[in-house]
Amino acid sequence: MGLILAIVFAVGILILMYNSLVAKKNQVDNIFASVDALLKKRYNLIPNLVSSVQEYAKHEKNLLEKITDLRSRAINPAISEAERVSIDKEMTSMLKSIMVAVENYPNLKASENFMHLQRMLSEIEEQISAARRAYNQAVTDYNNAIEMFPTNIMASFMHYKRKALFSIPEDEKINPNIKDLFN
Amino acid sequence: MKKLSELMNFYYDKIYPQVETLENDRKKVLFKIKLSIFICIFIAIAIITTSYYIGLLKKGIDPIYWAMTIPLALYGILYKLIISDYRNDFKDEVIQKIVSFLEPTLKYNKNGYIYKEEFIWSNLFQKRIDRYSGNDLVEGKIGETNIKFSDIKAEYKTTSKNKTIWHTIFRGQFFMADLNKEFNGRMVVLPDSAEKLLGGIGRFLQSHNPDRDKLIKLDNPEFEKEFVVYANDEITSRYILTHSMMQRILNFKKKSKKEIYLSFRNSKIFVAVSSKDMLEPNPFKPLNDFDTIKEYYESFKIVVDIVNELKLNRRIWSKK
Repeated sequence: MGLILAIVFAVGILILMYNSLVAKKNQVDNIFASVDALLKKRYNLIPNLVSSVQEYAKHEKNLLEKITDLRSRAINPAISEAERVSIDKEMTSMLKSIMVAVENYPNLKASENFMHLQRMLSEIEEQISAARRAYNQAVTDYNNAIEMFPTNIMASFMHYKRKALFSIPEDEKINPNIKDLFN
Repeated sequence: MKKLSELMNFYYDKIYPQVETLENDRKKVLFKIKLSIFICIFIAIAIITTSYYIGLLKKGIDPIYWAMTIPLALYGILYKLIISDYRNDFKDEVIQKIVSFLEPTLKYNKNGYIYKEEFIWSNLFQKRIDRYSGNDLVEGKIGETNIKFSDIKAEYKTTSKNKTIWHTIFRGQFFMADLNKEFNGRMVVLPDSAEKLLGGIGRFLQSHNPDRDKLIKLDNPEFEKEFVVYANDEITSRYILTHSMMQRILNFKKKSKKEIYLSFRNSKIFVAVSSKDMLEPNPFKPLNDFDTIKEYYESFKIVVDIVNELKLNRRIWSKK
């Protein structure tokens, strides 16, 4: 009798561990999907940005070409997760460069269309930032579970591997100066 | 933002000249209160002596108990009666002026308070409310932000053996304002008592709280120590609680030195600051003392400052 109870108890624990690992992995995938959706939203704003800046800032052709290139790479569905992460990083820094460059064109800065665009980009950047942080929390929970005892044993049976974090651009960790440029 | 020197000028300009009549009232009130205290002590002594006198005849009556409760209750009633007129005059004259000085666009209503429905809707305190009251409502606009706040007292009761006991759910200032970001979710930021006391077990219990949304773990260790966050979405909650916002909330908590609760729901922010009712005029403090007025001013200022502390006027996103 006691033996049967012990076995049932042990099986129960195994099921709990298995399910908890699956839940954590799914949470990571879930949030990555949201991150992806937000990244797409950002990429969709790029053409509008490029055309408004082009009108006023003829000298920034180089920068604009680069960002258009980057965008076409980004919307290609065939790229890997890791590539997506690195493109996001490049895109973020490129957008910042454009916003700095725009400082030299007061007419552009004052145009209705551009100001509206600026607000949208600002909002989307903050949402992406939030999504990255949420993703990193999910990944940390997952990595913890597959590395800590006793769930690490179960995890190796399930062939779960450690996942990489999204790197957060340094200046998002403190109140970024670039955002004050918008005010 | 008003400087101390401006407050002093305001005090000597607007308050001090008017304060003499009110100050006389205050002295009369103070006299009556001292008289009441004296009467109540007298009654207490009377009860003790008479009950010992007739104590041999009547049993089962505890004289000490009655000697304390009756005079105390009597004092409570007398105090309220005595201070009532003075309180109204004080609010009409002094508080009204302080609020206008703080921000000319703000309106003060000494009897108004935040609606119970709004209080409940904030989802900060989930206990059923049996008694709800408040006063000192202030509403208006600071920059781009509409704000409204008042003192609130919310209680629930428990009955046992024919005795009704009232428990406080919340007592203090309740503030609500427009949020400067579009937010369709639900999030509450509560003082973190469990984690402080119980550490990891506390964390475990918190994540399995059936009355609340998902526990959100945030990436600022100091913030995590002070607060526990429940929200219905991992991403939108972090959209509001950016690193700078978390820091601002921490700074505000340190500055106010009180327990604070925050709620974000459908583009509105609610802040509850626990405190005793601070706007009641203290008859023991003279009005012609600048420091007294300064204290009242500061108790308002700290709430109005929420707008600046949390940078609610920063409208750089899609919400204007």
